[in-house]
Amino acid sequence: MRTKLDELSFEAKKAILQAESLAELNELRVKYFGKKGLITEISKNMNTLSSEDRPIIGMMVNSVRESIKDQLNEKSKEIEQGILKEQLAKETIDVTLPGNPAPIGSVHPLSKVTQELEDIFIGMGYSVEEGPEVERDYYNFEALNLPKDHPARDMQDTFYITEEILLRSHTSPVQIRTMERMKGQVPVKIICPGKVYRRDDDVTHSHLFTQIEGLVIDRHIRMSDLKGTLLQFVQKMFGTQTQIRLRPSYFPFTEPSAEVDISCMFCGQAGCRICKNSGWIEVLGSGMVHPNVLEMSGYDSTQYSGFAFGIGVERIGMLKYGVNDIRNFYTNDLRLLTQFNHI
Amino acid sequence: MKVSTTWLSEYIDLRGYTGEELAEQLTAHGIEVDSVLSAAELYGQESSLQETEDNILDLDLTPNRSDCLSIIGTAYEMGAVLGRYMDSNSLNRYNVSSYNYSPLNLFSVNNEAEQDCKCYALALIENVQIGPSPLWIQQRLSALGVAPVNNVVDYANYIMLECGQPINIYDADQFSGAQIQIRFADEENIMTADGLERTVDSTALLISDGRKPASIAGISNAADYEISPGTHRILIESAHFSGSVTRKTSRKLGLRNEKTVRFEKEINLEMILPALLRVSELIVAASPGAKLSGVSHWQYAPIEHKTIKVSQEKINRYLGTEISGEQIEAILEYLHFPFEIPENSVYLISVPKRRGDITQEVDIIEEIARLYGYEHIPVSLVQGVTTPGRLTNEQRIRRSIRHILIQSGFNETITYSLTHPKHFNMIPVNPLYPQAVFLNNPMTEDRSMLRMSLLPHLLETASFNLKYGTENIAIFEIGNIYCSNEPVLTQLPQEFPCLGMLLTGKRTHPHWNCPAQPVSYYDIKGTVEKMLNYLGIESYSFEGAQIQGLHPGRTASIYLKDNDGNPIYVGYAAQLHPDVQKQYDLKETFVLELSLKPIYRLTDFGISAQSAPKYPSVQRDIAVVVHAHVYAAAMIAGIKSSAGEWLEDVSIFDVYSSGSLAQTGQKSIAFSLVFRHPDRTLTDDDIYPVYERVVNTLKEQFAAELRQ
Ligand SMILES: [Zn+2]
Repeated sequence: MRTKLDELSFEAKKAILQAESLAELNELRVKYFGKKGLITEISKNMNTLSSEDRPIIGMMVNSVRESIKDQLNEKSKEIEQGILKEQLAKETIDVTLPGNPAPIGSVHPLSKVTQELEDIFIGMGYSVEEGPEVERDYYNFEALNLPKDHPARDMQDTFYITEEILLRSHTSPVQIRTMERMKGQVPVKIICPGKVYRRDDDVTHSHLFTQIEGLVIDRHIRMSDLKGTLLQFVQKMFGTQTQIRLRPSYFPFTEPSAEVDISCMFCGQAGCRICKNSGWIEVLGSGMVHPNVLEMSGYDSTQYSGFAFGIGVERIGMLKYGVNDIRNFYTNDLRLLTQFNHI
Repeated sequence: MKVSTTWLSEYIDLRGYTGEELAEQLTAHGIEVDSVLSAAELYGQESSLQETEDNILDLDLTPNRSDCLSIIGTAYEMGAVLGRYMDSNSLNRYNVSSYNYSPLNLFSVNNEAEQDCKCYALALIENVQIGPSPLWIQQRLSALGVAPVNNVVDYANYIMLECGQPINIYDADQFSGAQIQIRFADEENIMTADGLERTVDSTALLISDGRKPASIAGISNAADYEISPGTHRILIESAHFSGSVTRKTSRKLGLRNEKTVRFEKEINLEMILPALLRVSELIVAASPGAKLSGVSHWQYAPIEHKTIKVSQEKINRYLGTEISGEQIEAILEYLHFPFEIPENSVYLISVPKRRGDITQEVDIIEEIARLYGYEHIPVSLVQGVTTPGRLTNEQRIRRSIRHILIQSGFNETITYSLTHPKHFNMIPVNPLYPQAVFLNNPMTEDRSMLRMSLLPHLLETASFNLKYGTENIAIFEIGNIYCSNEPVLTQLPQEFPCLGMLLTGKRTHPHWNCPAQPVSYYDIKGTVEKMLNYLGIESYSFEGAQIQGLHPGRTASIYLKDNDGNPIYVGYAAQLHPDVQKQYDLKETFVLELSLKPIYRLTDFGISAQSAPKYPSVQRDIAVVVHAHVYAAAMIAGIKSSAGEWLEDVSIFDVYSSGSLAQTGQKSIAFSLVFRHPDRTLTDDDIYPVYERVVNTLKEQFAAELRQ
């Protein structure tokens, strides 16, 4: 009996080893474990054995059965893997072909710059305020220390609709409206982005352009705070190596007033075409809020002081993205716009 | 204003500085210098002219610094910047006590406009012989851009350039009477010195001799009162005319000159008489035999002397600096601002009349700041409570819209708000605000009206890009449109923020794996639905509509449902009318305009998360045949109303209308309904009656036939 089992086991292993398909393995499974299978037969005949032999032989039969089953399973796994491998080889594609299109659009460069500026100032604690583009003369001029026949009105040629209503020439009216709304409360810490209009159109001027003005009012605001704020801003916008230079200037609504230059990032201040060999680029105007402006909008100028600044978004865009004509921002040539399709 | 360093040197010591260095110093402290021209550049290298060391600085003056519209004014500024004192000997030329003169008895003055002519002075010179002026005067004038004329006019200009006071010369023999009248005009015609006949209105100030006007005050003489080669007696006028009157009249007449520029910015009242005395002396000296017969001076308003008090503490608190008392005193001294120190570290400053721009404390602080040097002001951070920075909800929504549209393949554009009136009613105007807003002073007709729709410029942008070879165009703009209910504005007009979109061409470029399909109405609708969903707006509807300019069969009005359930019209989505397409050289083009204010109001920033459903859903499909003109949205509404509360979702998975259906004007439409019960699994028995109800509703409301 033992010999018979050994032979059977040996032959089964040999057959399993030689099998090449799942079908052959199935045949072998039937041959050994089917209703009339060789192992099945042996199991059936166990009762013919003596009671001493039965447990021993029984154990041997079990061991052979398990062993054959294991080999069958193993071989079947092996064959399945082979089949899969073959199938996968057939499924190979050209992974270098272009992927299916998932179109992406582009953000307008002026929106991109505006958002970046807004985010910098939001990070510095500023709220973003807006107001009408069609304004009253009062908010655009008079409340900004520019009464009707003030000589400085020549500085900005303005589009008028009626004597009293005009297209705002800066976003300062939003500052005035905010101050009125705040009714003397402090701190005021706002930026005002928006479209502004001037009667001007050439390579460096567009009759429509975009401004972001800022205003801070509190007790004890100092001109050194203005300098510090602007330095912080330009370093966030143009990099930490950027320096600023303030030059005295004149705006009716600020005093002292300053034009602000930044160190030229194109030449490292060695002098180039963009900075006209000066090493400095003019980027914004600023100053301490004129006491008349504070008083007119309900702030006691002996108690409060403030600073304001105005940034030309196009100017920043031209510097940041190398756009060379301000009017290109309004041509909407998709060959330019679609370049602004990534971060 | 151009200034000459040689001329300046008569009043201030400029030794040790080149022209370029002077320009740098001035610019750094507030007077911008546009250019520096050397004598060699001005007169040529070989020049034998006397002022070869000269440099001409072109000052770009801000409107507040009219004091620098003169050599003396600029010399004061130079002194303050360089830390040097003015030459007091030269200044004596403008000291009245340096002159002896007798009063002018021949003329009296009747001033009816004392507010606008606070001071008036006349000098009469007899026996003048008109001829060329000395060469050095001619050179000084030419160098500063003033053309030499003769030995009278040149001195008048010379004095104006030197001290800032405009000097006017009349031919005295033209005056018919002895009574000079200063009065406002009364719609009169005057032939001005340039030979043009002009009409002045009641805002213009005139100098009249009792018979007729001799000049428009400070602007131009009447032609017959001008001096001529044969003139022997001249009347010299040195006066104040107010800035506002001068500006108004010179604007209206289109007459601006060196004199009006100075009057407009308010002249120094203290300089009127000295300037007249000095110019008279020079003219007499340059014309052999000439004689000053008298000078008279009428003062109609007292010259007010301003004093301003400012403390060292305030200066430093305002600037964030630590400027010492000595530094402040030095700055004031070099400015030639007399001051007292009534108490410790407090300065009581007398402001010289030449500095009309200095009227209050902050003006003094500015002077200190700019002369101390902005570069020495330290850098500090704003102190006080920290404030949270934020965007408004409207700004957040606009950013979200921009984001989602860019993610959907659209490119943002920004077009002009000003447009051509021909676009006025391309799209029907808002009936509540039907009036356009026109500019009073447009630059061109193209940009003379505020836009009432975003569409025209989107079409122009598409047309432009197509012309330059971009065929697939997906663009949008977020911007305002403007309109009013008033034909002439007394109130501010409405500004409605809007979204405009335009789509034409193919969805993608040709691609090996995805055919380049042409865009359709459903692309633009799908994108805006995605956008509305992203903003948390679920109650919206598209309804078939007919709008001028748009394809009559492919136009939808878009409505949002207000919080109280009422529909609000927010815009349209459509294919452009073929006629308009042709007008702009466009192929099939799809457009959309949405008013953003209702969207701002209805955007839902809140998310309240529901737990995932516990029980499985059941799906049932219904395919029916209906008339081709039955709207899908109406059928979905019918299904929703009849399917009961278990209906979770309904979608359309097939629409078909070719073959025999097309011939009978019908279409097949297939819905997929998803049901779910919150507390148990739905059975066939549950669903059957619901399904029957839905089918019956479709049959009854839409004459639908069930398709097997
Ligand atoms: Zn450079």
